[in-house]
Amino acid sequence: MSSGWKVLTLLVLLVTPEITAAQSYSIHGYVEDAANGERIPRVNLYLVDQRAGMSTNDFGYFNLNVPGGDTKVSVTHVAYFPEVLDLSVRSDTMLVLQLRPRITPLDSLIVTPTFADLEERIQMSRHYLSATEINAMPAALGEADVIKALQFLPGVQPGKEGFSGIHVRGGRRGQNLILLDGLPLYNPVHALGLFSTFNPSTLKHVEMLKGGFPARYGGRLSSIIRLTMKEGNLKRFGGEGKLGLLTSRVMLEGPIVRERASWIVSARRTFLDQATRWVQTREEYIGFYFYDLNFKANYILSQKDRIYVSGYLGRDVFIYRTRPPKGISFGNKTKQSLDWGNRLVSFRWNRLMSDRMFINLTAGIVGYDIANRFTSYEPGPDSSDTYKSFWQSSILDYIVRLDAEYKPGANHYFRFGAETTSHLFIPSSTSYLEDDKSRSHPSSRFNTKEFALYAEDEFFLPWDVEVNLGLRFSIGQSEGRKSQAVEPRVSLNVPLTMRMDAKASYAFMQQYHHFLTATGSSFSRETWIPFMPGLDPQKSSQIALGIAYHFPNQSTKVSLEGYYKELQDQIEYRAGTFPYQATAVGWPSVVEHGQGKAYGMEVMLRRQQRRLSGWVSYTWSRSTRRYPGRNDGKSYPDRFERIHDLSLMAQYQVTEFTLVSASWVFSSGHPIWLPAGRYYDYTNGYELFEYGSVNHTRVPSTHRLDITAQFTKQIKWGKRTFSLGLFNVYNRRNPAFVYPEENFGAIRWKRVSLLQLVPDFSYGIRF
Amino acid sequence: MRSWSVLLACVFSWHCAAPVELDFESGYEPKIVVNAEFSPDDEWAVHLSRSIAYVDSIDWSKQVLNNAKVEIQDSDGFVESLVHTGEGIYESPRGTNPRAETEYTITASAPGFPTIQASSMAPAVEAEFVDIREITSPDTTKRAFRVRIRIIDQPGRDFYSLNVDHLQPTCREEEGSIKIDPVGSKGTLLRFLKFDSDLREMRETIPQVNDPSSPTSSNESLISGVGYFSDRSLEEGSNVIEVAMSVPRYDALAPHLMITVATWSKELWSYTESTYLDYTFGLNIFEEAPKVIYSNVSDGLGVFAGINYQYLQFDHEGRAWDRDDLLVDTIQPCDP
Repeated sequence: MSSGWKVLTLLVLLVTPEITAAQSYSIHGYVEDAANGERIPRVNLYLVDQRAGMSTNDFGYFNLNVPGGDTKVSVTHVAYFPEVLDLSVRSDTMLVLQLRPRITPLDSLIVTPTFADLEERIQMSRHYLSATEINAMPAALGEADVIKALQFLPGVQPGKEGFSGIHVRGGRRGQNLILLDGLPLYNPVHALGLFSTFNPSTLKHVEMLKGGFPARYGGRLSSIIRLTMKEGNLKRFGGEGKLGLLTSRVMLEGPIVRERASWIVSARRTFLDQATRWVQTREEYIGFYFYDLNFKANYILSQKDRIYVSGYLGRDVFIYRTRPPKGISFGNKTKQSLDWGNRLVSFRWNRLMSDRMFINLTAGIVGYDIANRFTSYEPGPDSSDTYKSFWQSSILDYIVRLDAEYKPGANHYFRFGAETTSHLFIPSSTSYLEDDKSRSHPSSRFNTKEFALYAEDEFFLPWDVEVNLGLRFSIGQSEGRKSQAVEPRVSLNVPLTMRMDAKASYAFMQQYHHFLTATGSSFSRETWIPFMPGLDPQKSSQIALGIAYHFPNQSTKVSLEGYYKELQDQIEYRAGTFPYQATAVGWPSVVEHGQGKAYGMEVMLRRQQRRLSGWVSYTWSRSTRRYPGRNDGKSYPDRFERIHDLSLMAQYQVTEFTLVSASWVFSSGHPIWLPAGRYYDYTNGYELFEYGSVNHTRVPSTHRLDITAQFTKQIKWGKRTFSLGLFNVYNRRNPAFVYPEENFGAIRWKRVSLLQLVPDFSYGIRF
Repeated sequence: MRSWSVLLACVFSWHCAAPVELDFESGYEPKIVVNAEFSPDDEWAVHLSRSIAYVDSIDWSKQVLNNAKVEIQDSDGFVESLVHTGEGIYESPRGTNPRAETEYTITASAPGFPTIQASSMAPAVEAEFVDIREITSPDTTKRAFRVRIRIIDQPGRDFYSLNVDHLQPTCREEEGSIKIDPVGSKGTLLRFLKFDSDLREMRETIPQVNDPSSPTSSNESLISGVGYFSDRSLEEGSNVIEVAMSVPRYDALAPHLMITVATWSKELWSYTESTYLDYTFGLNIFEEAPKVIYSNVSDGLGVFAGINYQYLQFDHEGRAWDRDDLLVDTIQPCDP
């Protein structure tokens, strides 16, 4: 028996005595939105007398163990009016609780918490943002953006200023597990990173974990970002639409069978290509657009069963076309296109197996591809010259996952499950057609499998010390190679006082594939590859310690966390290599293998009050890499390291219908590897550069202020919202890129600022 | 709609690049740069210069080092001092040549710079002409040939190149320009030929030698002038290689060919590879890992590296020819 199975068995045995010894009754069921029937995740249910409680899961499910007799349950959620239930419990009971949403915008910011967020008590390094919060934040180019909203959180840093990159605690883009309704999305950005792929109209909430990962999550090293889509209104038809400067979107929802089945669809598109047609010429055309579509439907089969079907389709298309002037029969016609997109279909089935057990089965298909096409056609008097090239990289996953939650007793939670994924990776496929002669670089195709089992036991020790002890056992198979890992996870919450908790966590993670990128130099060098002989799965170990204090007014919380993370088996492209070379010499030959280290401190003060809400967060962090073939094997700062990161976010409800929000961010400059010196090769007659130590220079720090005002008005058939915003109010020229410019033999470094002062406005309706 | 579009255009033009100057701290310390590609065919000659901070003004003519002390030591301990002959060039006062298969170490020092050192050798080269056969040419203005040569590979000879040239009858016109003289005989110049080879790994660039997926000479395209290969595609000992080429027809001169086989030191091979990649990629500011130029010079930059050439000169009937007889590199005035 492997060590993984032994620990798993031990966890099961730990649970068993309590199953038999339990003397309490189970109150279980769902919490629903009274207005639209949607089930509400993250509702806190608190047993006032027992000083214990829990939060509803993603599907609004809860299970409380209470002693027989009278008991009082407080039910709270940030977006709903709180309820206190007086129950007389004589047996196991199923309840469907309904919470009334706060109706006016002012209501939506009233928070009357009676206790700390129960989910956050044991789960450290966690952030939760509701769709309401995200929509109220100032947004670049007028489009509320989930990923950019997450960048305001401590420990989360953007790659480039103004773009939707996510680098969490020294990790890289490809190390974030971004789950949309339980299935992973590989590329979360539109427009080369200016927008995220998530339509804010359809999102219910976003949850992010940066550390202390529970055993139910795995397969990535740095973060888990869970996005949950709305389910669709079970009671009435409704919708919303928004016209913005760059994007417009529409969302419709309604019941299929009233109170039993519902649907929701949404679509979003940029009209930049259409709007700029008038500046294009016949000879030269540059066009760009993206779109995304979401749909979801659910059906309540019985009080115990519910099924969901959801899907996502998004695509970005960039086109560049040239042709000779009108009337000229000769000359070159060219067309280049770059397009990429995600697609996803998922099926989920929830079932209450018993009074104490809830299961969720997820099955789905996820695809991602990026393609670059080029065609050149030149007609001649006798024959014509045609050249075509095509490059593509793609992933196709089939995923099945089963999650079970079991409540053996009061303050005791047990979760277990299994997950299997079949991947088809085609990291690079290239073909050419020239003079009617075609050739291609052989595609590298990898059929890989991943399988994982996990178990988590969440229980209390004496002195109210809460523990989540978990173990994940994962196996990967790729190119005839097998790899397995036992991934221990531990989280601890120690109440120091009534208002102060100390927290600690440890998590080991293994990721069976790598994301190779040349940091934006060329899309044709961005690709996903699985582990294989000569290329190990990447791994991380993270320890985090923290302390959280809730102010007496219950609406303000301050937290301090420190972390230390080690990253093993990291890879980067070798300088001067291309993906197509890997098809011949193997991926291990075109990459360098190294290690990373990250550590830092994060402070966050968050306040949710009637009029003024927001947070202040500060992160001090270091992140280094060490590759034997670089920098003489010495450690060097990671390209995305930003030592200081400060964010201020504030939302102020001026009147019942006017909301003003502002954000200010400061990030110290990230390192950059620029030439330090230059010299001349007198033998061959050209100039060469001396780069010196890796990432020895830093670009200047970035900071900016964004402001948005939303004016909402109740109209006959719904609500309309007019938003006005200013991005980068004081027009700070933050560096997006740095480049050298030569002037009379001397070189000056210059920066390019892409997102300067930008006004935006949008008009939205909701009915 | 038009006003909407104008507004959009305004917004986007606002986003456009706004260059702002940056001051990065330099603190750069210049180093001695060695340019020395030595071969047993040539007397010792080393070029020394200094590097400058990236942002400094360039006047490369002022960066040569004229006051350095340069010594070359062989593996037997023999030391030869090179003397400055101008423009940063240091040469052997006795006119000695490097020997093949001998490891040499250069030591150079100059005031204000750390002393540098580098070692390399010129591997031996053994190649010979085997035969030549005329084949049918699809182009009537050219004659096509298949040539076989023999290369002896031994341990330590890891990297090779092969050039194919032919003699082109040439003369100088009154205004000074040089032109092909297909009927006269006013001197000749060596001109490269495109060729094909049966050597599986022969490529046009050094980085491609490590990339078997790149176009090959046999089934994709011809190699222009020089092809590179490593000893991976050779057996230890004798290897017969076939090379095919088309030679322009000249009334004045039957086809005369020259195949140059070179064995490269690892240092020169690595340096040339890195400079090629640097040239290809340029200064790409988005690169995660810019190509670092190879150097075997400790505490300095540049390269001190050996290479060895063997020239196989033969005509269309396989007879050897002499440079002087055919007035190679001797250009005379064209007939009026």
